[in-house]
Parts: sequence; C-alpha cells; structure tokens
Amino acid sequence: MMLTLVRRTLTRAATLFVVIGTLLVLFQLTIVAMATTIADGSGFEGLARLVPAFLSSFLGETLMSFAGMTSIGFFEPLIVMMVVQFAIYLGTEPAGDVETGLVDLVLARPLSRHQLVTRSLIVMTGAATLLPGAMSVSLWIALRWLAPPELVWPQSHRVVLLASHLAAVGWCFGAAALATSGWARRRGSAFAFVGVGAVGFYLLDFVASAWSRLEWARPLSPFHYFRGAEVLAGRTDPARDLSVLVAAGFVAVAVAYWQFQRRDV
Amino acid sequence: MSAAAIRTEDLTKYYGRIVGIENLSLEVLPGEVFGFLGANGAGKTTTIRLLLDLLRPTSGSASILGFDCHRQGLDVRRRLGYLPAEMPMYPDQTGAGYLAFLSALGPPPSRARLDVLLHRFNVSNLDLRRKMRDYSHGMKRKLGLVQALMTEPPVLVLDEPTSGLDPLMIEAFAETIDELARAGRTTVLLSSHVLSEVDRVCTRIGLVRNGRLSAVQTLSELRAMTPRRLTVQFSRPTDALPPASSVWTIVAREPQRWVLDVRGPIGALVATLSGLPVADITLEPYAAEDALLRFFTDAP
Repeated sequence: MMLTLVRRTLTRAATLFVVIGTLLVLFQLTIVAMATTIADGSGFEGLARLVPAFLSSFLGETLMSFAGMTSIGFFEPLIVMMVVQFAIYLGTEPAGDVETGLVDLVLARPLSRHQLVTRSLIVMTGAATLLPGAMSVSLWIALRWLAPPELVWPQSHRVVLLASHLAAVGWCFGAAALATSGWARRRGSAFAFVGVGAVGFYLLDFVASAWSRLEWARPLSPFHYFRGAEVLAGRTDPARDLSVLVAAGFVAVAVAYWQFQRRDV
Repeated sequence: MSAAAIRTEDLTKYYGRIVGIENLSLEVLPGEVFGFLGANGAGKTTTIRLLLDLLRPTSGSASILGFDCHRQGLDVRRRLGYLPAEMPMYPDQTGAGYLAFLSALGPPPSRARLDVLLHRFNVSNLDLRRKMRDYSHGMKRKLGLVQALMTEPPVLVLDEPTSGLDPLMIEAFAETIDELARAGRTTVLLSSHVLSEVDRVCTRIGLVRNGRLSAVQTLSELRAMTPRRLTVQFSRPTDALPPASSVWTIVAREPQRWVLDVRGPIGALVATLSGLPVADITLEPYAAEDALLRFFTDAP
C-alpha cells in the first residue's frame, strides 16, 4: 500500500522535480565553466581586488578561489530557497489531500492516517536528499569534464558537508510543512505559511548577522545552522549544526503524526 | 455484539458552536437498504464521515458490523464501500489508473465483477484510457460507483449516489441496488435529499433535520402520513356536508364540489357519497415529495 501511495505522489511531483533538478544541474555545469574561464583569464586574485571589502567579509572566500566559486551553488540564496520551497511543497501534500477530498477516498480504504504522513515524509526526504545529491554529482562531472587538473578543486568532504547542510535545511522546512498540514484544510494556506516563514527566517538570519541588536534571535532561524561560506572555510561545527536541523525536523515530524491522527479530515 | 449492521448511539458532532449532528441514534439492519434523507446541511454527510472515521465525534459512538468506527476503523473500512458526495480525483490519472490505484489500497476486486460494473455503467475501454481531467461530472460519478461497488463489500455507504447521472444510469444504479437487496448480503446506507432516489430502492428511511434524526419509517408509513388531495364533483348542487373524520380534512366545500385532504384509507368517505349525485372523483397520487419539502422547511 505504501508503495502505491508513494508512487502516486512521485508521479504527481515528477515534472517539478525534473525541472528543478535540471536547473540545479545546469547551474553547477555553468558555474564550473565560468570559474574555469576566470581561472584561465585574470584569475581569482584579480577578481578579489574588484570585490569591496564589506562584500569580501560577507562572502568569505567564496568568490576568491576556484574551489569557492564552484561550491557556491550549495548555499546561493535562490538555490537554497528553491530546494526549501520544493520540500515545503511536498510536505504540504496531506493538506492538499484534505482540500481536494482525496483523503475521503483513500481513507475509506483500510489505511491508517499515519500512512499518508509517512508517504509525504518519504517523498519529501527523498527530494531534499536527491537534489543536493544531484548537484554534488553534477559538480564532480563538470569538474572532470571542464576544469583543468592544475586548479584546486573543492575538497570532496566539504562538498558532501555543503550538500548535507542543504538537504538538512530543506528537510527541516519540509517537516515543518508536514506539521502545518496537520492543521491546514488548504494546501495553499500551509504552503504560504511555511514558505513565507522560510523567507522570513532567511531574512532574520541575514539581518541578525549584521546587526548586533538582533544577534540573540539568530539561533531561532534554521538558516543560522547553514552558513555555507563558513562550512567551506571549515569554521563551523557541522555535527552540531546538522544535529540541530535534523532534530528540529524530527520534532516537526512528530507533531505532524500526532496532529494528523487526531484531526477531522 | 450488536445485531445491527450499522449502529450509532447518541452520536454527536459539533463544529465549534455549530451543530453537525446531535444525539443521533440509528440502526440499520443487515441486508437492509436504508435511505438517509435530509435537506442540504441537515447532517447526512457528517454522519457518514463519522462512520468512516474521517471526523471524530464530540460524543457518542458508531459501529459497523460490530466494529467500533474509531477504535477499529481498519476493520470497518476493510468491509466498506464508499461513494463520497463530491467525487475527488487525480486529474492527471486515467480512469483505469484510478481504479488500479484504489484497488491496490484495499481488498482487490475480481476482474469479473469489475467488468460487470463497467459494462452496466457504460464505461468503455476508451473512457478508461482518458485522463480524468477530461471526464464529465456524470462520468466521474459512474467511476465513483464502480469503485464503491467493485469489491462487493458487505456494507455500502453511498452519499448522493445518483447526483449527475442520466436516467439510464440512475436505472442501472437502482438495478444494482435491487440485486444487492435480493441477495441480502449487503447493507446499504444511501444518503439523499431527493425522495424519488430512495423511493425506488430503499426499504426504510431515516429523516434527519438540523442534525437530529426526526423519524425512521418505512416508505408505506411515510405515504400513510402524506395527505392526498381528493376532489368530488357533483352533477348538481347539493347541501350535504362531508362527515367529520380524523382521516380527512375539508379544504373546500362548494355546492357542486368538495375538496378534501385524505390521510389513510378512503373507503369510509366513499360510503358517505352513496345517494349523492357524484359525477366524478379525482384522487391525486401520493405527494410524498411535498410532505418531505414541508418536513425539511418547517421549523423544528
């Protein structure tokens, strides 16, 4: 039964998944090609001289090296937001089932409610993992294909860490969407609530990182635990950050199971 | 253990301050085709959704075939066929894919049964290959009936089953329910706000109004309480008066015409007409729809 439910969800989300996956893979290929061109020309030292100091401090070493530039896809805000929003979309599926009435037909069969949550959790987790995974694979292929061997490539364990952080932050918000679906009667409402919340948390982290008066609020944002430039530079505690994101996600998943079990559908 | 196939005891559901249903106690016997009649918003769908454990009761309980609808929901739904009032669907799915998807989620239907139903409801292979987004309302409804009936469940719950069906399909549906009733193995709870829909197939009806079950009757009992208009035309003026009776009420009395509303047998009235210059007697058929309309619209 679970396989049937998962297959149905995958069929519905396949087009969007392929489109987003293709965009991310193309971005990785393009950024490697671009970084290779820069390395062949004036070099990253020239680029570093053009970047204002305040931007350098914000971006860290991202744009100052071939390895940094080719890793930027994992923490570029629009890309992070795309992965996060897709996970949120998948996490709101139970609310969509309630809204369309499909839950009536499905739960008229001998199925437990938690199976609907599990189905969405499986698909959301898969998407949150596969997209950064595809980015990592495409980065490696692009490097092998386009980058001259004398350039310093991003370290593979740093790439894995960046991909893990991206997956964890996506999963965390997808789990929050799943929890919100436990209450929502409309998928659009759940998606808007968590989607806008994700943007809000991103902005909170951005502002709090630059304004000491909001520093206290920074740990509230999941994005606080995914600072890509610092992961790349090895200045974070990845085990702590990943643990926080995954733990927050687990709490949200537990809430989703609890609430969907007790609600009227 | 209850002898009833479907039983609710003081079942109550409030949506905040709004009453969905209140203290609804109902028994549907095994093999019975039970009509659940009420106006829109009376509480029919709420009752059905409580039976399916889609809603959680505020108080009271419901059971099907002796299984508690909430605590033993899986056992209940393993034995249940359900047609919702609104036919939900996956627009990207074909009709065949839809039936295969639903079949995989419960007891599998037999191919022979599926073929019989598809043939009866005139669903062709071509229809099954089309995406459901291209289906008409009637076609969705037909597929809904097929999915509800395909596993031959011991209990069928059908919410407004003939809504959107053409007369031929309504007849096909009625035939199917008749067959199930004759076989006596299936209990059917059929919700509707149209009497003619239940008149053809149901043995008993429950009338629900404002969330409360107002009456449970056989159709003959309903007819007995429904007045019929009787008009007596005289060939010449007469001074005679209709005798007083609890069976009829006088609507109009004119020298050459009496108009009466009759509840029950008319033999006594016919006897009083002997010796009078009766030219014609007109007795209108039972207007149970009118009685129900009054029932639905009267203040509680």
